[in-house]
Amino acid sequence: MVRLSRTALAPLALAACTIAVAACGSSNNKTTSGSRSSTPAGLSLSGLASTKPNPSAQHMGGTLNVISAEGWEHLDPQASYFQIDYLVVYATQTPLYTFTPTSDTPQPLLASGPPQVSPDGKTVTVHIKSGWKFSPPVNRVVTSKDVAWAFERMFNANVQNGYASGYFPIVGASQSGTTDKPISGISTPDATTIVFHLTKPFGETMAKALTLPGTAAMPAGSTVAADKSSPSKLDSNPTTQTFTGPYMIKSYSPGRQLVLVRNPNWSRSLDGIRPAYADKIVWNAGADPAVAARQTLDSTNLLMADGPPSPELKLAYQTKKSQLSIAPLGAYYAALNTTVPPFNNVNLRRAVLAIENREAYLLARGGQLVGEVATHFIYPEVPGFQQAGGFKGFGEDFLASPTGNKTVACKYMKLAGYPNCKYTGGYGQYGSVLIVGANTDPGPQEMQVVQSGLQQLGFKTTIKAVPQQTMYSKFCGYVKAHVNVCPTAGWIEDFPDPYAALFVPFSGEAIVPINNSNWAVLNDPVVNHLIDQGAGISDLTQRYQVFAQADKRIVDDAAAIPEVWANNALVEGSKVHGVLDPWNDDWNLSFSSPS
Amino acid sequence: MVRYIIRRLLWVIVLLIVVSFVTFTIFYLLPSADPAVLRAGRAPNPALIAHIRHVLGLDRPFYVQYWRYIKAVILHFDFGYSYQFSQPVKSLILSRLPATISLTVGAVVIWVSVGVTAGAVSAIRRRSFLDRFTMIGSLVAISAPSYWLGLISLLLFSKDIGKFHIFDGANTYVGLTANPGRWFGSLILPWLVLAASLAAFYARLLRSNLIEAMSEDYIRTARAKGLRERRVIWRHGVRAAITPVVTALGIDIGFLLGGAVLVETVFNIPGVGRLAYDGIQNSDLPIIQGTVLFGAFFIVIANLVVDIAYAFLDPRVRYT
Repeated sequence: MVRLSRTALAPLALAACTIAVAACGSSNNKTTSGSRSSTPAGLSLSGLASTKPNPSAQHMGGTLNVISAEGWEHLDPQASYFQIDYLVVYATQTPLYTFTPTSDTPQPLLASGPPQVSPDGKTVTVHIKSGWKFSPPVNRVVTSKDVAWAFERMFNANVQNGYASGYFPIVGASQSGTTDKPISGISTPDATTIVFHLTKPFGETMAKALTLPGTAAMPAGSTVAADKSSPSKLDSNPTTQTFTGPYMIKSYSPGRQLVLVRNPNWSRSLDGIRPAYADKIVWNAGADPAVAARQTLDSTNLLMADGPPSPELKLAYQTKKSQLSIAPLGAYYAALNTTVPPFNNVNLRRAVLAIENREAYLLARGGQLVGEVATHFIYPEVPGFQQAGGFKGFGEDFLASPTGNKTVACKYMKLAGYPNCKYTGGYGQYGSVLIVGANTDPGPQEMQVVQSGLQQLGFKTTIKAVPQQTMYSKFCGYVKAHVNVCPTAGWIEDFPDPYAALFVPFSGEAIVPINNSNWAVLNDPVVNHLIDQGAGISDLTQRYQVFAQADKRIVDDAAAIPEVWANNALVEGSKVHGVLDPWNDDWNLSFSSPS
Repeated sequence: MVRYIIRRLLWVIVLLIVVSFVTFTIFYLLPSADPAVLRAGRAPNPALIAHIRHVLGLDRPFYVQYWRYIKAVILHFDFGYSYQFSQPVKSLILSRLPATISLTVGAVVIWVSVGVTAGAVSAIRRRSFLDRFTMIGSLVAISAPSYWLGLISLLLFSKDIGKFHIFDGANTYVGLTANPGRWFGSLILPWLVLAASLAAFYARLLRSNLIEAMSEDYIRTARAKGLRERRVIWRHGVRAAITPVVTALGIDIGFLLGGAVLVETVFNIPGVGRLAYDGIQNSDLPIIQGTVLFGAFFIVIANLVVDIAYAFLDPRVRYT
């Protein structure tokens, strides 16, 4: 999961209440605010900002001004794994492929055409465009060796890439080394061809992962000295990077200001996708979210890169709808630990899902403006959503009532061996059901919702509210902690594909001892097999159907309570034209224009 | 006096070592998050975490880790690397210090001049309308949280989102050397907000001390000698009453140089306080440790300066 800004998915401060819901249309059409008139819950979406490209109305030139509460973490493309960072990295670098604001099919960017995946799915061949040049002072043409170098950097432990080992199972690649070593599974037969040999049939999914910023070429050998440090010095001083995108980083003050200027060696015609309207982009970070939101709404020329807090969101919705965009962004769920008592019993888990009031979750997060009650784990903006049942879901009785159903819960309690519909069994090491969540809003409220449902079924409960990072690293993300319920879990896909939505949070193969993101510690061989199987299928219809089966199985396993399909809201000035990247649900600076 | 200063400076070093030890121990024994995991990012494999743990020295015993840390601080002024920004903490703090100094110095000028004047006038014209107005106003200013006051002042007086477009708003700070005019304009509102509650406190403090001082025998003597009333008040009365104000001033300056977190956050002034806030938000332990040490340093130095100032303010004070 790309790490989201604090105002987005992760269980964070009140700003999390800014997340808003929009409906999604077909399986491969991510709906932004302009294409539907209302959400399934009846929230009107008409009159919201248009966030699609509009070449006839957008003007070249000028300075694009961006403001945010969050600063940047990693602007090194091979280290970058954060929503806010992606705005910069995708404007200054060029991955092999990209998703555009109007398509969720990967488009060749540095590549010259679609990737060729061998029939066994274990070889991926990419041809890159000829004549693409690095920025000054390197100035030379990008070759396949530079792309290979980027992959070697991703597997350098000093660069600390968060997704390389998950999405690029390349022969000979290992993240334990600390030098940019050649990877035996990558070959470059000529200057414009690169071949990846994989350890498993994963080519179709890797083809989508080639849209990630780590695939952006880096001059081979240029980063040896920088990568000897941990973290790499290329990350601490991003102005020293070499760029292949429409923009270069001219100046950088961590957490304060970033200035991008045009890359003189970038060719619009060779790029073919990014228009790059602005001559300059000035980004001021570290603003107070409420102040920044008001400044943006009152301005003509600001883009706010993170979401507005709840009061400003409501203000924008009521009075300045044309400056507000609402688009789908991931999902929230409450994970139930499937490996320790009491929730190592599937019927008990189903009973919990049946009793829980999911509408109360939605209200805790901010109501209709922030989402819809979820019914499964492939969420609206992910292709395959319709095959997975769409908004209605799969029809399980234990999820039929969004406000909870005691009768159905009782049915499953009886199946679990508790005829009185009250739990009287044992607990794990904590002597009760331990619920751990973030101590910032709406974490405590969500924990109380869970607790209320559990107590109705007779469970003894203990709530522990901790800082978010503590929750990740010491409790919910730490397998040995054996936390029973983590109600403030969230997920957004790294790229628009159901594999990215399901693998890390629900596959047993993704479980790691520390900083684990499969918080339910679900290790169902059927789920694992379906996800693996789906990852290797190229036919989209078939692929989505297999993942839908995996989604259904996860629902049937009752590994987590699907809480909310969330949306994210963004605001912009009255004259600026912000264009949204639906898969990242944030602005695409190469498509946005000052006017 | 020189011996006294040297002795105090040595105690400063001891105190800072103690503060660093306590801070380090707190974060070691009660870490809010695993530093290796924070650095590693999402879904790292165990090999990566082990590597980071080794690089950060987290696989060493506590005392070895502390020794490495304090040696780096004392010998190289190295506070480590920020997990979030991937930058040396020292350079982050030093780059933000000018903004914090700008904010503090300007606010000090305002709150001292306003506070002392208001306190003196209130004390001299006790129970007058001016006195009551000043004291009620100071009560309001003390009670208002600076964060709230900052937001309200922006909504009322800032040029972009305010009702009355008077002052530069948030996110407008530039360095003094970059543009002195804009630097000054961007700090007026933050200075006023930061100075408000402190001026109020100083006014009340000076008022009560001055009332007491003005009833002393030496004041009657000064008047009997025929000195002008203004000289009696300022040269004899205020000078005697100012000592606690100087004490408070020293502590407040030291505290603010460690970062006026709330005001810097509201106005997005890139100071040390804002850096500390970001560090806490992100459990960025090197930043938290670095800013705590910096804050402690300024507070102890400020206290030393105040103590030295006493010797000049009060002839009865002699240091050996």
